[in-house]
Amino acid sequence: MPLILAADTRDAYSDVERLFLPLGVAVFVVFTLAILFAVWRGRRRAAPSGREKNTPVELAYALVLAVIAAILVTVSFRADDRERSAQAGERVRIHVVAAKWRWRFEYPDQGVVVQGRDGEIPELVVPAGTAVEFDAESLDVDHGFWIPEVRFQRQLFPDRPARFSLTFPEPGVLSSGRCSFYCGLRHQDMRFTVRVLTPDAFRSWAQAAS
Amino acid sequence: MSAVAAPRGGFAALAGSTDHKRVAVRIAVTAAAFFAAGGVMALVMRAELAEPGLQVVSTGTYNALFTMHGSTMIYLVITPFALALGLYLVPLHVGAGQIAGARWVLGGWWLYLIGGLSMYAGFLTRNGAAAATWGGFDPLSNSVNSPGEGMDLWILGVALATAGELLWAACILRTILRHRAPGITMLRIPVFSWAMTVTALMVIFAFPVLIAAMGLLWYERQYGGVFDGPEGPVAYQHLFWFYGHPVVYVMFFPYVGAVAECVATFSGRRFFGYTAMVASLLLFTSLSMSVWAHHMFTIEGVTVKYFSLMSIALVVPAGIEYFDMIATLWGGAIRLTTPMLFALGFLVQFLIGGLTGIWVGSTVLDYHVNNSYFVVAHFHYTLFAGSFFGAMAAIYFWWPKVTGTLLREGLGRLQFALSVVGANVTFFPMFLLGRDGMTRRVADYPADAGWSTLNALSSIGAACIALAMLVFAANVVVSLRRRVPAGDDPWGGHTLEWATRSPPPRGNFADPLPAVRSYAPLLDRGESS
Repeated sequence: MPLILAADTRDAYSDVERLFLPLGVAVFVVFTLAILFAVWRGRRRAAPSGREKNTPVELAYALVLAVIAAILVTVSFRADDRERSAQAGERVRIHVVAAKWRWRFEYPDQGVVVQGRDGEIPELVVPAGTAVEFDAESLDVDHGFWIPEVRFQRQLFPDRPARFSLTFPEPGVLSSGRCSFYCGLRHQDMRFTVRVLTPDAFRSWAQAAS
Repeated sequence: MSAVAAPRGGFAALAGSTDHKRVAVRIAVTAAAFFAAGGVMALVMRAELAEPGLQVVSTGTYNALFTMHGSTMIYLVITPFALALGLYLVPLHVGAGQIAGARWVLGGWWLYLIGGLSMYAGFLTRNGAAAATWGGFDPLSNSVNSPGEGMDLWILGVALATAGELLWAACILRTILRHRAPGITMLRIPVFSWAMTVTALMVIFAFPVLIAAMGLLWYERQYGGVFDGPEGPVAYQHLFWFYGHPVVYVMFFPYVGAVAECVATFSGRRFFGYTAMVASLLLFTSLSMSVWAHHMFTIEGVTVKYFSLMSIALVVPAGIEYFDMIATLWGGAIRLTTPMLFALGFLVQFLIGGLTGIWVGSTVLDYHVNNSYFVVAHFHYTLFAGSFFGAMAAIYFWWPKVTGTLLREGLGRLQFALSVVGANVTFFPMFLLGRDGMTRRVADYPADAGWSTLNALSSIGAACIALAMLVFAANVVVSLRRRVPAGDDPWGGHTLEWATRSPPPRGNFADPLPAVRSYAPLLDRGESS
């Protein structure tokens, strides 16, 4: 088995969505058609059926449901394990600090600090294809660290660091990260952008910024 | 009902009648008033979100609005109305002349009313009403981050209303367990009353935890030292969601029960798979106490796999309930009355809420959509496109029994059509917005995010829902002004309430009860004669 370099949360999410979405749509369509058909046919029926139950069919159906549930749980668990899988290789550490209503990103190994200020949206700069280890906390109320493009968020609390690692496959600017846990008056202003650089460009950025 | 005309004078008469039917109607009318207030707040929010930028309200007002909208709908509307259905119908379903603990039921209404008014009194205080979400999450809700009396009044209001609901559930459960007429075994009570049984069980196990949490939150605000330390805020979330998930099913099962009665009645046949339905309700109830932390998947250190497993396992009982509903329709001779239309609307639309519930039961999917508009869409499909439609089915179905008059079918069908369009236009875009990254609880969103069209669409849908509500209000007014007598049993009902007058007399049954040999006693009567 190849060594997983870093957890790709986008892939893990897609793997689960690829199963859940079509299955959910199929169940919705089948059940809705069954209801509509039963109503359409039933409006023309003079005398209703007298049957009260069909235990063998219901038991078999319950078993099918249990099997489906087991499959959904298994697929979901395996994707969750992938997101948490051990990683090897180079990594970059970032300490994230959330406080009403701004972000701070500290790069302890590079000696860089990005501080968000009122009226400007801070930029989280990360290298592409490298594991980025986050260590995130809040200074006041609960906040949420969410980067929609990588399909991942964590709640942040005071004195209770959340540790997780993410990878950002290609260089580019991700439209936004945001605070996802309601934190009071200016919750909606707590945003940040994510700039993904090539590892070389990241090193130059860090040198220039430190 | 004035003190002068009442047989007993003084305080007892002022407090109100202890007849379970009159208290239930009182709760329903109170819930309708709070529903109107909660609905208006939703419309103001949708007006604000219709386009980017702040146009209608300030951020602070918006935060109070969404907090009070959620608090109103959950603590003051959907839960109390669900229990009011049980307070009215359960004694009739089990052949009892009165509810157990009638004075406690009336006392519960006072607690609920005062609780609701207390929450709303926050608007009159200097800092405005509570603005810390319907969950009141610490530390945002503590005295440092949410100073002012609005938050204290909210805590008091939540505790009082919840205490009232707890009393109602206890009285409903005791009526079912101890006041059934001779011959009515537990497996001969209607599906609706089974739904109320399991609802009452969940209320009794989960609601005291919320009352305790509110007491602790009040203490925290006064003296501190409750939710201290790194685990304090997480502990608050555990306490809150230990209530907060079961209450979701408290707001669901009574309406499932009502829909089941409508589906069986208007299919002209017994509900199919009664025993399986009862078993699935019990399984659902048991699982309901083990899924609360699926609201906390994004917190590190939560045993997410356990809660994910339990949440996805709900597929089994939920699937059985749908099977039984569809199987009942399948062999039925169907009449598409207004209550039946709303019942069918419930079945189809709740499916979207239920299936997306499985979606957020997967940890990996929830790591993305948690606290986004996807979740807002999901629970509005359960609570509005689901429970509200179930409530309307119940209102149209039992209105003739409660008032002795019929609601207008034409206006009912119009209301149904507008509600279906409005619900889907309002809430479906929210799935897409949430998946694309729009967080919930925001008064504004960036103009360049590409969310303007979907938000505008959602706001148009909300206006359509408002129109549907006006049609319903018109229907109520017209039907009460120019009365069309309903008779005792306008629908060909299956259960005992249709064997007595409309409205039922004090004491419920003037004539001897028909023999009860199954969960559809009035069908037995037809078959034996």
